[in-house]
Amino acid sequence: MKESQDPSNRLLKHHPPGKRRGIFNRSSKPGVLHDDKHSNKDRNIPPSATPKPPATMTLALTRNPDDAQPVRRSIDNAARPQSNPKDKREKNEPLLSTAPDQQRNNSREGDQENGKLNLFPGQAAISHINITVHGKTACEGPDNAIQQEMMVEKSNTEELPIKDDAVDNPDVDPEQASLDIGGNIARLECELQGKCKEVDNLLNLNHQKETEILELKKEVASLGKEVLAMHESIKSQDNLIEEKESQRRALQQDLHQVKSNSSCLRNEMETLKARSLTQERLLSDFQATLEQRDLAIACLKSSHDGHKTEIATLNQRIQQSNAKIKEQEKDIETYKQTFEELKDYIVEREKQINQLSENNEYLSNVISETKKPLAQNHVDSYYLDRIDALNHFISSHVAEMCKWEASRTFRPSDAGLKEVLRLVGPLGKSDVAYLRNTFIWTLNKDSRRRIVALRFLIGLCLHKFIFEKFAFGIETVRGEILRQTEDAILQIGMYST
Amino acid sequence: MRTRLIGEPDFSKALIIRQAMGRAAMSMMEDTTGPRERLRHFTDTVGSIVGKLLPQNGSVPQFVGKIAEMAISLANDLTVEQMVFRSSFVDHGTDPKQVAVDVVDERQTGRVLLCTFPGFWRLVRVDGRVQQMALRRPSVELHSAFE
Repeated sequence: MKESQDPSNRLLKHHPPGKRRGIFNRSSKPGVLHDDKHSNKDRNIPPSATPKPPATMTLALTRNPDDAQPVRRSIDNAARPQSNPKDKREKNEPLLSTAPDQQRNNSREGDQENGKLNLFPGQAAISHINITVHGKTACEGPDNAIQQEMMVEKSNTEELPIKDDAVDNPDVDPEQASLDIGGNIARLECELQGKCKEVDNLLNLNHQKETEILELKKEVASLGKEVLAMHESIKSQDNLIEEKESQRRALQQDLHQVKSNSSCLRNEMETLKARSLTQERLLSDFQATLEQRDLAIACLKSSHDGHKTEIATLNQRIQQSNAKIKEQEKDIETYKQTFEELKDYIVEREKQINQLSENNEYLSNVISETKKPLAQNHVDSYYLDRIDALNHFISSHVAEMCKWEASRTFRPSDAGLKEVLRLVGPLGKSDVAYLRNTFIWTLNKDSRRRIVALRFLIGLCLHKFIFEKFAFGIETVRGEILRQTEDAILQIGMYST
Repeated sequence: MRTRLIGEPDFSKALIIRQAMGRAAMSMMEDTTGPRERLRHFTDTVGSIVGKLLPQNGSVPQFVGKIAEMAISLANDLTVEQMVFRSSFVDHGTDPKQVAVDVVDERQTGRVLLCTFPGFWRLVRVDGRVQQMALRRPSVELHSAFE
């Protein structure tokens, strides 16, 4: 076919492959070419996802621009993800898979060989667009929506065939026919541009799907690993389940044994209950006996407490009697000592009696020898005068000594007073006590107190040392014996007439 | 009525016996150291008492010696006398109305404060009973003297 006669070549010439791959705006008017960037922006396609050239392409062009819409729509529907997971799986299959470079080159070669626009001269429209990917047409497969759409388009094209009146009708003016053909060609070019644009879009989608498929493959690989791991875990779980099953069986056996044991235990429990009943009866009897014994014990305790109190009182009496016995033993010891002393005293008295008898003999001899008669020597006044003289002498001299100049300023010391009290202490009782407690400490008030004190002390000494004795200078014991003898004789003579 | 035994002496004879006992005792003590020791004890005691209550003076020993001489002489005479004498000393607090005392100052009242000189009594037989006849009543000072 010549270039001038082949409208397709003319079209290709007018639009080189690079330009042909450019995307026309779908909504634009036919014949208006748009930039790829603008088209990408409008479609929100990232710049990196540049469309690749199609592998094999067969386009079926329709006369009406609106007729191309089903094709595009069918392709979009094919590229659009389906809600059905089954369709999704089919979609993931390499329906529009990215081919390697070699395939891509092959597709390009195929493009040169097969992928040519079948623009038949004299035909008004392209009857069918066939898209082949990896040697398969998009129409292959019974479930493919694209195929269905394509078939729909084909039927449409078949229903609306474009007849070339210029060819069929020899009466048509050839110029007019050429003009019509030129217009058709222009219109077809516009449609072709739209279709190319759609194809580019489909290729971009194909590329995206390929990348998604790769990612999905990776995910599938990872999922396979996970599935293997899951299989292993399932195997281990199966093993565990088997073990559990074996344990369950063992437990069931144990349960059976336990049930058998429980039956035995129930029997034993019944026997034990019977025993417990008998034991409870025995226990009640035993409690009754215990209460009786408690009462008896309480009585015994009360009696025991009484015995305790009696024992305590008896112990106290025993202690008292022991103390009395000890005191009596002490008294006995003292009595023994006094008995011994009395023995010695009796011996001494016997000796004294013997001596007194001797003295008596001696006295009788003296009496017989002395010719002085035993008669009253002096009358009472004589002695009274002497007694008064002694009293006067003492009182006068004491008063004289207390009136000395030195005696007025003299103050007896406490040590001297204590020495005086020590000297006269054995001589008196109440009077010495009064002197000790009160009077002797007031001697410095006046000389009269000192005179009285001195006269008291001298008179006391006279009475105790001289006049109280039977005779002055006689031994104490002998004087007491003579005094007792004197009293006895006077007592005897008292009854005499 | 007590029956009198044969040979029992009457009161005069008892006094004679008592006089003989006194003479015998005095004659027995002539060769003993008892009287001298008693005299020294007396003079030491009275001398120290007077010496503690009065300033030191050379007349105190003479005074004490004179008292001892007079008192011992009197005691010896009373011992060999055919009478029975007793000496007494009144205690502090004694009621002067119940005992025979000699109050020098008749204005004094109250109980006996101190006795300043012993009393001397003679035992006599009155109506078949021995009674004490006051030869000299004890000299006393009553409480009102120093109130």
